[in-house]
Formats: sequence, C-alpha cells, structure tokens
Amino acid sequence: MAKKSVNVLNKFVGKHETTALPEEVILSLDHLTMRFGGLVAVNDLSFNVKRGEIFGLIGPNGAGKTTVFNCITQFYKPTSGEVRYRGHDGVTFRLNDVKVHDIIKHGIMRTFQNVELVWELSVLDNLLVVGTRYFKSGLFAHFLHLPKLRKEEAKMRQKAEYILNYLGLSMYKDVSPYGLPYGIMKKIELARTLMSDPELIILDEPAAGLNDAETEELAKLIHRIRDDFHTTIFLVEHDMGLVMGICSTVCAISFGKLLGIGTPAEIQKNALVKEAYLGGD
Amino acid sequence: MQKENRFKTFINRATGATASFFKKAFVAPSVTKKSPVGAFFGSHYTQFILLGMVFVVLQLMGNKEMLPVSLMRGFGGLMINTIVALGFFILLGFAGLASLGTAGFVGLGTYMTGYLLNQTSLPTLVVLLICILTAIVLGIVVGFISLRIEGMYLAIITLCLSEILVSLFVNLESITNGVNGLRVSPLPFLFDLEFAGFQFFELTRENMFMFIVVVFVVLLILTHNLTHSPTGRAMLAMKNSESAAQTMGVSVLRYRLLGFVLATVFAMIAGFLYEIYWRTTYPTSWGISYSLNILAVVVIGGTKNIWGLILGAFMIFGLNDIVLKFIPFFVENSGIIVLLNGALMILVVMFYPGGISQLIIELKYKILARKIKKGAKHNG
Repeated sequence: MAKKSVNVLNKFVGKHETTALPEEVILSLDHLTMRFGGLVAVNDLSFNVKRGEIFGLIGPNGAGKTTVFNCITQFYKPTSGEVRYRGHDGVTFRLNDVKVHDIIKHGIMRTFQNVELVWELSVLDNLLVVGTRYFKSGLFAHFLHLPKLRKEEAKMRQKAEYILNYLGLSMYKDVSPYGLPYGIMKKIELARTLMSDPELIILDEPAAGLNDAETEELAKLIHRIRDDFHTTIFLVEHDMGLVMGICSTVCAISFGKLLGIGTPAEIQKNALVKEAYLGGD
Repeated sequence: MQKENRFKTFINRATGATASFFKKAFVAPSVTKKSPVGAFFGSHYTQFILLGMVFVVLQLMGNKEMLPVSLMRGFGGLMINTIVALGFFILLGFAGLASLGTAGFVGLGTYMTGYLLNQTSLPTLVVLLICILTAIVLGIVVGFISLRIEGMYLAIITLCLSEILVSLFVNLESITNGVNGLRVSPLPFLFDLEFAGFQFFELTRENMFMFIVVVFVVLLILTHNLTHSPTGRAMLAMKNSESAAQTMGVSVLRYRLLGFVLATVFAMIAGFLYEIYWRTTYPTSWGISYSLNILAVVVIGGTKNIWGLILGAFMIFGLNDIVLKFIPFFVENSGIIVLLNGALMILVVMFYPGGISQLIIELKYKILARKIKKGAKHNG
C-alpha cells in the first residue's frame, strides 16, 4: 500500500521507475534517435556517463551534439530510445517523461552555447532565479512579503553570495551582466548551475569565445567544481585542448552516429574519428 | 520565427530592456547604511501610503469646496486607470506578453457590477468578489491561448476578444441597456448586510473616492512586493528567454497564466470601481483606444519603477482631466491632447526607451554617485 502511494507520487513528479542502472552510472542513453522530418540528427546513440567523471562529447559541426543535450534536458522529446538517469536516492527513471522545467528538480542543470542571462536583473538576482524552486512560500507570501519569504530570501542570498565568492565574481554581484566580458558571463552561467545543487552539470561549449588564458582558467575551474561540489560534468566542446586535457572519457559522434568512446588517448588514435575530422583519403 | 523575434525586440524596447538602458542603469552601489529616517521614507510602504494620504487630503479639501468638483473627478479617474495600468505593467513588463484586450475586461467589470447591483440584492463586496472570480477564470482562458499563440498574434487575439465583449455590451440590450449605457441606481452601501439591518458607508462619490484610494494604495503595494519577489524574477527570466527560464525550473505555463490572471483581475477591479464611481458605463468607452492608452502608459512610464508608471498614467490620463481642463486654450482645442500624447510616445520610444522609470533610476544613481564622491573628498 505504502509503496503504491510512493509510486503514484513519483509518477506525479515525473518519475517513472525503469530497469535500474548500475551504481556507478548516472546517465545512460539507450538507442537514442531524434528525427526532424527526413533528417536524422541523432542516430541510434548509446553511451553511459559515470558518476563523478568529466565526460566530453565531441564531433564536427552539425554532428548533433547540441541535439543530444536537448534530448537529455527534454527540450526535444526523442523520437525513439530512452534517456535513463539514476538520482542520488538510487532510483532510476526515464527522463523522457519529465517536463523541461522539472529537469532541474532532479539535479540536472545546463548552460547554453550563447550566454542566456537575464539582463534586467543584477548578477546576484540572476542566481536567485534558480532558487525560485527552493522557495516554499507561495504566491500569497510573495504578495505580502511575509517574514517567511524574507527568511528564505536571506538564506538564498547567502548561498548565492557564497557561490559568487567561490568563483571570484563577488565584485559584480550588483551589476547587470550586460556588457561584462564574455568570460565573466560564462562564469556567471556556471555559478547559476551551482545554485541548483547539481548532480549533473551539462555544459554546452563552455570555452566558445574565450581566449587561451581564459580557457586554461576554465579547465582548472571545471576540475575544482567537480571536486568541491561532488558533481558529474558532461560537456560539449570544440576546443580539443580543453577536452583532451580535462575529460576522463570522450565520446566522438558524427552525423548523429557514434564513432568511438574511450579515454582521450584512445580517441586520438581512433581511425574513424580522424577520418571524420580530417576527411578520408 | 523571425517576425516573432522582431516583435519580442519591440516589447523589450518598448519596456526599456535595451542596451543603452543597462549600460546606464546599473552602477554598483556602495554599501551605505541608511539612517532610520531615510529607511522610513525610503520604504515603498511609506511612500505609497503618503501618496494615498495626499489624495485623501485633496478630497477632504474638495468636500469643503476648496477644490472644484471636476478636479476631484479627474483624480478619481486617474487612480482607476492607474490600477488597470498596474495589471498591464505586470503582464507586459514582467511576463513579456502583449495584450490589446484590456479595455474589454474593464468594460466587463463595469457591466457585471452594474447588472448585479441593479438586479440582485447581493452585498457590494460580494459583487466585487464575483468580479474577481470571473476575472480569474477569464485570465486562465486567455493564458491558455497565450501558450499557443505568441507575440503580435496574441495581441490580435486579445483585441478580438475585447471587441466581442464590446459588441455584446451593445447588443445584449436586455442586460446591458445597449448604447444608452448602464446606470447604477440606487446607490450601494459598501458594508451591506440588509438582513441584519446593518448598512453603512454609503458609496456617494466622496466616500467612493476614499474607497478607491484604499484599493489603489493596497494594489500599488502588492504589485511592488510581487515584482520584487521570486515570482517577479521568474517572470523576468521568462520574458528574457523562455528556454533559459525553463532550465532554471520556471514553468512557462504557470507564469503566463499568472500574468494574465493578474492583469484581468486588476482590470475587473478597476471596472468595479469605475461603475460605482461614475455610476454609468457606455460600450463606446471600451474600444481599442482605451487599450492603446493603457499600453501608452506602460511604454511612457516604463517598467522599472512603479513611480514611473504612476507619472506615465498622469501624463496620458491625468494631464487632460487635472491640468489642461482648466486652461482655456486647451478647452477650445480639445483634440490637441491626443496629438501631444502621440508626440510624447514617439519621443520616449526614440530617445528614452526606458520611459520615466529610467529617468527616476538614473537620477537615483546620480545622487548616489555624488554622495560617494562627497564622501571620498571628506575622507581624503
């Protein structure tokens, strides 16, 4: 009886239990296919992301990397195939059934290729938008600014300030992100992901538009975040230096198909990957 | 897709979310402790209540015949229109949704109030409650439409809804009395428990004015609170980019519905007040020109600051009724106010896209910067 009601509750928040994933795996794609009309953007793609690793997805332009991200975060509903996720409570469920705005509740947070910040809010308030889901006070409290809301707000503000401090951004906290250097904006997006206590951070081209020094700093930062916040990081990147430098596993795709998966050294030797990047002869 | 984006850019531009605004508006404020007096007058509660008290004093002067009656009518109308604009302020400025159906909803509020007060013996406050409930239902319906249709097409759909309502007001003569307008008679009491032999606060124009002031101040405070709460931030995130907002856990469905529900509730409360204050309503008042005027208030006032909105409402609705009515030149050429409004709108959109709120915020920062400079000199 009790278990049944738990199941109903899980269904309500979009948790459909499926075959359990092994403990060390956090995310698993099973024969994922995404079709747009006649175009097959992702074709029968399967791989596992292990808990606590930095996983890199690479591929030439138009390989379907961002589509894979969008399928995981449910911006697109996959044509076929499953995305399974094992949360911190040990329950495995299909992400396919979760709504876009509920993905964050399961500890998955992404960044965007081109920075998507709210220009009309200060940097600190940008972080607090993520906090919206933590606020237990309802609309009524928001209308009246009840003490309950103020307490929660103060707590969230503290958390946001801690994160900004951690990333060395506290001097920008009262400024609109508009017009800040691109590297700083990317860092603010990273800070925003950390607000959600993420288990899986999905980074869409974190080094795009950064210079070499900034990229190097970013690599260190990603490592530090992984260690300090105990998260898994899954990134798409064009900068091979960054990918080969920090990822423990790299997956290469081309035209939506898997080319190879393995350690950076293995991928560098892979003949199929070489052909996809440099052209066959 | 392209057109949608262009329209979104228009909305952002019209509400001041443009590059020039951000560059100027945000200077990192220094951490300065406010004196208790400064904190008291700096609080929005104090400011809005003081504004309400000014209106109350004006009305008391009006009662003693120190001020002309038509001036007091001007202030009453101004407050009612500002309430409508407050709803639109949330809808356009925060949820980022454009609607041209505001007038229809205000009209519906007036007709419902008139009909219910005339035909039934419901207490006045219950009539207000019925208006609010109807507004919530209507808001949810329009909100669901807005999930499917976006940008200027949404504006067209809401305009159509409003026009349907207006033609109902004209043609349902048995209920609305057609083009002759619906009058409220006899005067209602605010607290009306007839069965208990308990009736007081008769809603004469003077008493009604006080009631409007109370509602006006309460709604100002509620709007300010909401826009400075997690809900306001979530709405702004949604206005900025839906996909980013969704990854941050903001449900687009929830906040779009909320935006429309609030806008319609504010509109129908204003309709209720209008009907009792003016005691009559005509279908012709609720055409597109009223909706456009409300839009103009929000564009000229800007959406960063409620004081900007109040000043915007004053320019669009108040200037004519409160100032120009008493200058003979404008009485003779009454069409000139429309011209002025149009010119003002062009000037604001071209040169000052943030509206009056931008002006207010810039002034605030200028004063702050001067203080910091003075402090630095003092210390150095």
